[in-house]
Amino acid sequence: MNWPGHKLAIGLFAAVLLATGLAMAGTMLAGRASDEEAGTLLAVFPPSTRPNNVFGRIILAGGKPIRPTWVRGTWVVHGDDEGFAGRLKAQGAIGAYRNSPVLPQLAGCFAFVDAKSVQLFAMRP
Amino acid sequence: MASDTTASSQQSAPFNPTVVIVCGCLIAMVAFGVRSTMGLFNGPITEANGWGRETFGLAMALQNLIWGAAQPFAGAFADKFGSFRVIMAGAAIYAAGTAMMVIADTGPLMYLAGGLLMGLGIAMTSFSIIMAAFGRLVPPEKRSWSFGIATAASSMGQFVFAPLGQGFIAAFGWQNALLLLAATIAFMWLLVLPLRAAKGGVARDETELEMSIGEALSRAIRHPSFVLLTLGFFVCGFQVAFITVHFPPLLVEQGISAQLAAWSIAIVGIFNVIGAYTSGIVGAKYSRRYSLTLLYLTRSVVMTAFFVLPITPLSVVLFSACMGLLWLSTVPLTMGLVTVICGTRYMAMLYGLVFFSHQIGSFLGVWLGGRLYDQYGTYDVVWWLGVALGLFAAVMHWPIRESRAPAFTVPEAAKA
Repeated sequence: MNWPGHKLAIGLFAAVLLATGLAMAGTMLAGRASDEEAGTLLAVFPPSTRPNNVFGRIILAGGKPIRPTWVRGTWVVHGDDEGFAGRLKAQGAIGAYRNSPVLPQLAGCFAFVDAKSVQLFAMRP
Repeated sequence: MASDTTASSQQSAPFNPTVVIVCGCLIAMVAFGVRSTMGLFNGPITEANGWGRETFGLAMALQNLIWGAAQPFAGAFADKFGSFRVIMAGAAIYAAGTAMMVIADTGPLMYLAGGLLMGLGIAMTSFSIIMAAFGRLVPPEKRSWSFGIATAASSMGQFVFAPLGQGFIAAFGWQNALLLLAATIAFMWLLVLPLRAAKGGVARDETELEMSIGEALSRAIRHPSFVLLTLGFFVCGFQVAFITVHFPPLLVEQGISAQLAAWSIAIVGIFNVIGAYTSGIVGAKYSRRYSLTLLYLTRSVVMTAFFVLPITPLSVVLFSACMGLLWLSTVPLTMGLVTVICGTRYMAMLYGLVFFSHQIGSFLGVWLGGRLYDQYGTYDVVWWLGVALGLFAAVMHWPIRESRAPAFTVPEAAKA
């Protein structure tokens, strides 16, 4: 009987990574804010944008920067006026997102994903 | 060279081998993955029931303790009745415990659901039971590899289920999230079907002596190599649990950002998958005892270097990556040694016993980490204790005899 080897291992792990990635991408797409939306959003600017520059652009879009996230260029922002998401995009944001339930969370061997690490990695507007 | 490649009466699997390995890995992934999400429920459950942090924390502590204590018994059942039946029953208990947490509005109910039932369920579905099934189904030359992939799959479970659990809670609320996780656990009933062939007593090495569970236990604990292996695995539990719980606060205390501190454990998790799989390959080609000796020695060296050199973001990342590679990579090698020394007949129970020692080490690593910090106001003492224990483990593994114990071998006269 032919037992599988490294190809199966690589295939299995690649499949798991792909499925996780697709699920995350799907959730992010579903959470994309339309140009008219306002409220608390996740604004994604190109990672190369300097933090001061991001800060300024959020202000110019008529919003308030609330906090940066662990992903460079990605901020939780708030704007009350309709069209806030569109103005963020006009200021160079790649996208604006509503609440995203899927977060990249990892844990070690016998670790629990605890509340502290959830907060640290939170990308929830 | 590992010495478990003797002729064996391997049972032919009625399923495609690829299906057997994939399903076993998926079970390991679910079993380990779901438990790793429990921390996400701490806040919502505590808040909903108006509890302090202690109630949920105690339930989770009980879960770990029961998992460790039940592992030898779950293993014994797997050896006696087959991994298939144990996983079937374990999935039912695990799913029931997870679902019951929804209605557990008092401390005792939470201890029963999240502590006792989940702990039992994890013990009966964990990678130990999967590895035992693989050990009986796959040919000896593939055994170590199969232990490696099962362990790596468990680690992948955390990678997958942490965001999934978070997503379930955010989208459906914590109660429905628990029910969805329980339904995912119940899916194991389908995944376990290909493992039906892995029944104890069928696929033994021909040189393996027939004996009862009690005899196997008695002979194992009197065999010096088995005792050394058990003592060594205690250290793995101590170091891993200490670092998991106390490393992030230690880093913050040293001026490292809280984000990088949390990331450090994530880096450990990523490299752990690579390390666990690689150690399965190493175990098939090289001496497992020397590999374990080197592994524990390297852990001590890495821990020493990290503490002696200035702690910088780069050193944190390097340390986490190195420790990740050395993290669960002890498991395939340790399970492999149990199989070499004691054979496959009672491998699940005997590995369960070794694993219990690991869990005691885990408990002490977490507890002493906090206790000694409180006493001395620094992690220095417990860190150096971890280094010393690594050296101790290296010394413990060196004299292990990597061959079938005479007490587990058919005497020459009986063969004739």
